[in-house]
Amino acid sequence: MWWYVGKRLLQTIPVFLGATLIIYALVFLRPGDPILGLVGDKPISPEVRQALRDQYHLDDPFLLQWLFFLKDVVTFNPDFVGLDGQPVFEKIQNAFPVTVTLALMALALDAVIGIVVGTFAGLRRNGWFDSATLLVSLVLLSVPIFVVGFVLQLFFGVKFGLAPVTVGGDWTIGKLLLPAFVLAIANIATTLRLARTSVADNLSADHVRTARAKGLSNGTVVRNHVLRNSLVPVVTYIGINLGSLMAGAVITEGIFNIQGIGNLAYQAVNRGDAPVTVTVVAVMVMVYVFMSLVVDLIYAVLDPRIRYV
Amino acid sequence: MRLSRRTRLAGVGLAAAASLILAACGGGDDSGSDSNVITVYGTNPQNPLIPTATNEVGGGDPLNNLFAGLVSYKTDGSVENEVAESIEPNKDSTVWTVKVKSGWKFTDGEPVTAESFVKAWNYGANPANKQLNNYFFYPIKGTDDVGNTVKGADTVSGLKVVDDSTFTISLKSAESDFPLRLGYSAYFPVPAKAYGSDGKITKEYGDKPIGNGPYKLTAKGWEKNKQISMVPNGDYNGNRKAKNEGLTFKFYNSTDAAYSDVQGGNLDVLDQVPPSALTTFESDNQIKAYNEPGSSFSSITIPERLAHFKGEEGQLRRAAISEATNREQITDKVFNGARTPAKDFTSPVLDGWTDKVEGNEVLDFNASDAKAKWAAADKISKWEGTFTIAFNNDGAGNKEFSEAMANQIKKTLGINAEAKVYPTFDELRTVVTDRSIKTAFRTGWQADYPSMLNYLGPIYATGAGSNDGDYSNKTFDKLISEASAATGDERYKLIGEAQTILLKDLPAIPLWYQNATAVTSTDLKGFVFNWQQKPDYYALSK
Amino acid sequence: MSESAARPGQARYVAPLEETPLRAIDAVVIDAAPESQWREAWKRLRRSPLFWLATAIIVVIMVAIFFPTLFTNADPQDGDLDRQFAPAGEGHPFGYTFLGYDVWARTVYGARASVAVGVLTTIVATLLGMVTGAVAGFYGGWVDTLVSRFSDIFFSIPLLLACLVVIAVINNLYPQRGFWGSVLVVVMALSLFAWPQITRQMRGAVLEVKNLEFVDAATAIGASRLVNLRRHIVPNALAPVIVTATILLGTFIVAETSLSFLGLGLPSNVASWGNDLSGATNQVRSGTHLTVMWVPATALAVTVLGFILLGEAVREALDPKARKS
Repeated sequence: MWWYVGKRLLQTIPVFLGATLIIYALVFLRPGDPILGLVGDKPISPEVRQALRDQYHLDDPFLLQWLFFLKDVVTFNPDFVGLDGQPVFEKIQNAFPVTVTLALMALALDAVIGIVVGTFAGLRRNGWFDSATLLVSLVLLSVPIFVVGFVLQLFFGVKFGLAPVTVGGDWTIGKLLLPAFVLAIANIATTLRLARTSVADNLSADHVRTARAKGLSNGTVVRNHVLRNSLVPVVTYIGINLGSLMAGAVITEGIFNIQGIGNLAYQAVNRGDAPVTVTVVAVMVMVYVFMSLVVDLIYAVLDPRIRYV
Repeated sequence: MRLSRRTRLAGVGLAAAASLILAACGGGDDSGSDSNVITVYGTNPQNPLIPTATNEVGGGDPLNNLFAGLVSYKTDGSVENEVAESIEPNKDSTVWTVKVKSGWKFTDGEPVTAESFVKAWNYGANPANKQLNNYFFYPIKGTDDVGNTVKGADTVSGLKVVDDSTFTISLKSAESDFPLRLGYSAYFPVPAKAYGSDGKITKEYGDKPIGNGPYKLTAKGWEKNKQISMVPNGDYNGNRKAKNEGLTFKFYNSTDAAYSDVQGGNLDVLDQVPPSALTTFESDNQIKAYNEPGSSFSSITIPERLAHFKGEEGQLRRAAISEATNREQITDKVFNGARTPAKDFTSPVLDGWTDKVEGNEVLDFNASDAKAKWAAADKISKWEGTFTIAFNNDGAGNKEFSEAMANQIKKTLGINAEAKVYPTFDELRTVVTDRSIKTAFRTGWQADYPSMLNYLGPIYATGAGSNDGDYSNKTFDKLISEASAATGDERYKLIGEAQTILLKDLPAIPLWYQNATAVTSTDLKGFVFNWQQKPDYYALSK
Repeated sequence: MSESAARPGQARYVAPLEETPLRAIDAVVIDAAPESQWREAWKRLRRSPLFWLATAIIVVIMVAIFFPTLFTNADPQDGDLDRQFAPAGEGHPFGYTFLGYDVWARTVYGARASVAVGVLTTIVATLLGMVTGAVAGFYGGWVDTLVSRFSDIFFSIPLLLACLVVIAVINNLYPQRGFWGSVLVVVMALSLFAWPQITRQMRGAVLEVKNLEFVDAATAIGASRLVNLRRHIVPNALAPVIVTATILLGTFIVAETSLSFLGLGLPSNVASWGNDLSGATNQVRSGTHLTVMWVPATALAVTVLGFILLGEAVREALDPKARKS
């Protein structure tokens, strides 16, 4: 098992290198001179423009820029700064906690609502409850998140005052509840459908029939034989999603003014700020890799047939 | 055994989820700041908080409250001495002698001297220090066209320290209203402590600047991506004494979010109004609304170098496009009255402004004349293709007005017209700066100091730094330099003549003046716009 | 009892013919082809009301795409500020937008770009994913490792952020392009980072099918590895991929609107639901003239719903486990 974990961790190295290389290449190819973005309406002297370009290695060959970046990241260089002259690691340190909290809350909402509702729908497959949840989940899947976000903000925040309108720098878990729900919506729909199908499939599985034949009560059968087996694909899906939730937070964070990773990345992309963009993506990649490892390990716990060597 | 382990795992998961929800319910709001500390809208500064390094409002607004310059602006844009005892010109206004008042101190106790100013300005003008505000030093002798120290020099030769409290400024050419510039943040003094052993201003100083202004940073000061908090500076004895117990610049990523916070009572001042709220903000009773003509100018630039826009044909076509644009309709419908149709190239808040500049009828909507002019141009050379207006999508309302304007031109002139998006400001500026853009593009000007000349010289004078359309007209250049040296009515007459030339050539097509709009919480007192469309923060109270 | 006794050489007792009469049901038509998985699925599909509902929705949308004039006579590009938020009238059932465009005409013409993005992205991402997934799953070993790590790289990069950068880059390289050019840019950006989802699924399915008896049998009778891959494995692994693809189609349409909301989807002169919706956010925020939001939002939701329902119906039809209930 430890051997397996070690092997997996080693495999993350090429993923990390590849992902940062690709994003670096893209930011490198991006049009526009980020220095002119810094300068604004006023003119800038060619000397200063060039000095700034040199400072950020903007005229170096692309592979060299990427190597500079790697060196800074791997050594956790505290002087590794974004285009605004502020240390990148400090920025990420500031933005990370709120996004992780938001994503974890969304994940929790996703898991609780998705599994509970999905299980009930699956137990009475094709009943009215199942049909209703199917329809609702499909509608949720087909409405863009920013429409949902604005509408909920308008009603809960502005009109009824039930939730804070925006979160801002002083975030608390209470303030994050509405944004987390908005973020979770699309995933809830998928989790719910996954749980429903999984439960329904397992209900008709042979070992469940056997359990029923043994005369076990319905509740016991569902708890011990159906749910446990049905959870495996659901847990996989939920776990893998932590990364995509953090990335998907771009829009939610914008709507609710949350100073998190998604916002940081969006602004960095718009500024052409390669150091910040690529570091954020690198962090996301690490989260993803870490989560898929965790999920695989949980898999082994939930399903005794799986063994890692 | 295995079963029980799995059960425990599931149990832990549920317990964790439950506690998260419980915590969520318990998390009350922590606003409760009913003291006289004013929360104002801000954005995370993009540069260190150094006067010569900060060129955007996110850092500029805090700096203006942390520092005091030689002069300060009154609400109407006129200046009064602040740190300066006197600023006297020689006979022809080319050499200015500045005397600094005694008794001014930085918050760490260091006295403010002539050296505090001169050293900071030299630092800002030296390209080796990569300061973004070097541009402001270009009028001073010993700098090049963009305000850098001339090659081989570390200091600006036009700046001379006479004694502890006196220094002189020699200008390249006569400028009768030079002191007007000196309230801008690029001219603030910097204490000796700011410079590290290598002569550069330290990173620590950029994070926690020590100033001499009406406020000083609290112990927490600048919390990155969150806020900047400041309290009144007890030692300050200038023109802008704080009437509140502190300012907190809360950072936002969108003005929409900030607007919602003003409605919800979590923010006291938002010094602009998001486009989504333009139709409703003046009737919203959860807030107080402010809307008056402002100082920033918007235009469309159609460079001479574009096909069909050269010489006489270009003059006709620019005039046709100007007359085909219904400014009233756009300011009314797209901006809901938060813009005012332009009557000239400057701004109505300035001394000497008039709506009766000769030749400004070309700025009025006139479909038949527009068609006639376009047809006349077609006689010179037949038009083909699409007229395109480029805009940057990260500026509020740009997309809407560019598209509406294209639609008006399409309709009036019967040609193909479209708006073309550049996602960000820097992408548009790059193609504009390297002259590779092949279309008309959006331009704008926010003045550095309250003078009509600042709206003309830096943009339309031959070879000027912001002359994006490469416009050149010798008569115009001459009138502008004469006006700089002149005073009173003579000055305004010359400016009027210069504008008449511009109205004929239309190096930029004036569109509108951006109104100063703002919303505040209902219990906020003392809100007045200054000439920069900003509130005087020191005067706010609750 | 000599008749019933075993004859010499006969190991077991065999019942006499008269004791085990053949029934009609046991007749075997030797030249009949076995019903393929696909034909069976098609049979079940035809009986599914979900399938017919989905088809109906999709047909209506296709008609709107190819013959928009059947739905509206207004020009979607004709904007006039004098008509800002003008109310509904003859031929203009939902009134006008902020810039004076006909809401209904924008929505009808917007279908083309939005559905084109969805369908094309699905095709490109699915093809890419199927090829890579099949290769990885079938060959295994270092090929599998290589493809898997490669797909990990693309999978781990957040889709929206990556698309923002990609579109900015392509916009710069090819600034002048028409409708299809603009659509293709978004398609390329989305599919570049979406294919790993299909790869993983395809790889898993191939791995599962590879060990089934009929593939072993084919190998035993000497089928080459490539023939095996093409003839036996891919068709059988296709079912789960098709299901995912139809569901992804909906999410791609939604993704285009999100990109437009962030300012980097289709250019604003292309009528698309994403552009209309992001233009309508001002109205959502102020809570006025909400028709400009509801109409394209409903069209979008119904379209996505149509494709997701189709996916759901296909899944039910193809999934052997779902058949039992």
